[in-house]
Amino acid sequence: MTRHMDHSLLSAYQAGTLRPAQAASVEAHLTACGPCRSSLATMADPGRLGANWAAIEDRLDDRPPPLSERFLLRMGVGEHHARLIALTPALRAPTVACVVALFAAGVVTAQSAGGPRDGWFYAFVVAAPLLPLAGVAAAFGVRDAVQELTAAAPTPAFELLLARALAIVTVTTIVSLAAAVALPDGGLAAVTWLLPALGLSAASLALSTWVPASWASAGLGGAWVTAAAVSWRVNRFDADVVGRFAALGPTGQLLFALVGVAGALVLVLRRETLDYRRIP
Amino acid sequence: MSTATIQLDGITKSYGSVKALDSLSLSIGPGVTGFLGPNGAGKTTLLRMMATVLAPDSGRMEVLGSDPQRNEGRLAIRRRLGYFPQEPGYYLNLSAFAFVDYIAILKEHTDRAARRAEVRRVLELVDLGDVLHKKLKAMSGGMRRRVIVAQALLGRPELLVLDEPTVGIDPEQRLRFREVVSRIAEDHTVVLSTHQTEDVAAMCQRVVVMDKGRVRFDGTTDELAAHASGRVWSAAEADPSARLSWRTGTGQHRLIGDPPAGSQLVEPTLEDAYLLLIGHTTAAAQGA
Repeated sequence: MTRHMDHSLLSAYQAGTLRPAQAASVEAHLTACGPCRSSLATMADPGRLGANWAAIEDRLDDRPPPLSERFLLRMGVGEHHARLIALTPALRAPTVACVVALFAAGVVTAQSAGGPRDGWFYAFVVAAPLLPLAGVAAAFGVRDAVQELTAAAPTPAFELLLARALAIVTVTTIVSLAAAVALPDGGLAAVTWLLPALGLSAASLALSTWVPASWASAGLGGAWVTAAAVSWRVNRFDADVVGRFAALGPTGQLLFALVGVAGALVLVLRRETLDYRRIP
Repeated sequence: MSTATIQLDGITKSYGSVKALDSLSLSIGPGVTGFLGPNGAGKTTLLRMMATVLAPDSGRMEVLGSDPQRNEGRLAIRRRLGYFPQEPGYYLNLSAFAFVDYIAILKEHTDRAARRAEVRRVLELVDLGDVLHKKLKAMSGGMRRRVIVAQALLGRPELLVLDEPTVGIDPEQRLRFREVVSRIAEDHTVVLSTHQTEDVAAMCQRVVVMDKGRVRFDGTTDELAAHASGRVWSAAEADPSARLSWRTGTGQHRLIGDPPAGSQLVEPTLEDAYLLLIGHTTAAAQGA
């Protein structure tokens, strides 16, 4: 004949006040005794049971986030922003792999040409700012698959844009600095594209408050490439890359720094236009 | 301040020379309001405006007591809104759970445990509780659309804007969807755009028929069906005097228009009334 547990013991178990050994003993009895389980069920606090069940479900549903998100979390970025940044279209693995491959190709061609004075190197420095420019456009342009859902959510578009643009600029900067270190005696020349890239990206974001981001990026990118091609022709006797394209020289650097600041200011002042479309 | 959930006065929107909405005025309250109309009628443009995604060229709007054209008003609306866009888009590499969790983050559900419980709740509502971690790329089109329905239900929104939500969803899931929407509409407002007159008949207390950016009909589903009363008949042959006719599966022809004397009148459906009102649809298309 089975002895049933008395009410006070079950009540203490339900309240979680028993010592571990006692609780284990009660649990062993409960697994074999239906009437005691029924008695316990009448005492159970539905709120506590619900919370316990939710915690169990949460643990079962827990999946490790993608590598990029785990990295951001380790760097101290909050969960909310880590997720928003990790899903940036331009930061998907294939795109980042393309960026790394392009920089690696630049390094290899410069190495084989013996230094940063070669035409291939010039093409590399000119092409480099186009990457963050395209990435920034894609981060908040037509390439964001869930753009329509994002637009109707209360998170400000400006916050999303800023988080993603900063992530893109950070990634491209790290890759470019790695390339600069790997280049033969051309460290400084390899980073001359950084300020133009920041200036162009900021200008593109500012323009995207008037026209679609893809139009702004395409226009600015086209103007940059055209100017670089014309400069290459005009200054073909200049042996130095920086000397061939004024945008890469000190005056150009200053100008693009100013464009970057102006673009950022316009973006901040007109940030609310990003939240509400007056264009289809 | 108006007591209606949505109040539109003289809303106009053009794309180039095409007027998508032509001085539209409407007042929408709690319950399910269905929008019917042919492609290009302006339904999606109107629903995007209600969802605060698109601004009108002119006119006055109030949604949930706030003006979507003002920044603080728009934010207040978005916090109480659920939206199913016509072309939602997906991050296909994410699981259903991760995708809805991402949208929940965008919807300011910052408490992790509460957010994840809410994500589970909405996915279970659309019967995806067993495939929470299946990637969207491995799901059928209908299942993906149910994921989008789920994200629209996050936070028990006071206004649900659903643009053709039942396209590609199988009949059993459509029934479940209707049940979920009807339950929400007991004390909230649901605005639904669809080409399916059965959805309207099953869910909507009110139906608005749009064509070329204007409202052609605004009333109950019974009133719309009554519009075709005495104007639908059945005959062995097609009749050129009918406005629309098509051959049915039984070999008989169903005709809409002004029936000749002695015609065998039949009970009109909501679809008959809609077709009579719009009158653009070809008989061939309807006979399919």
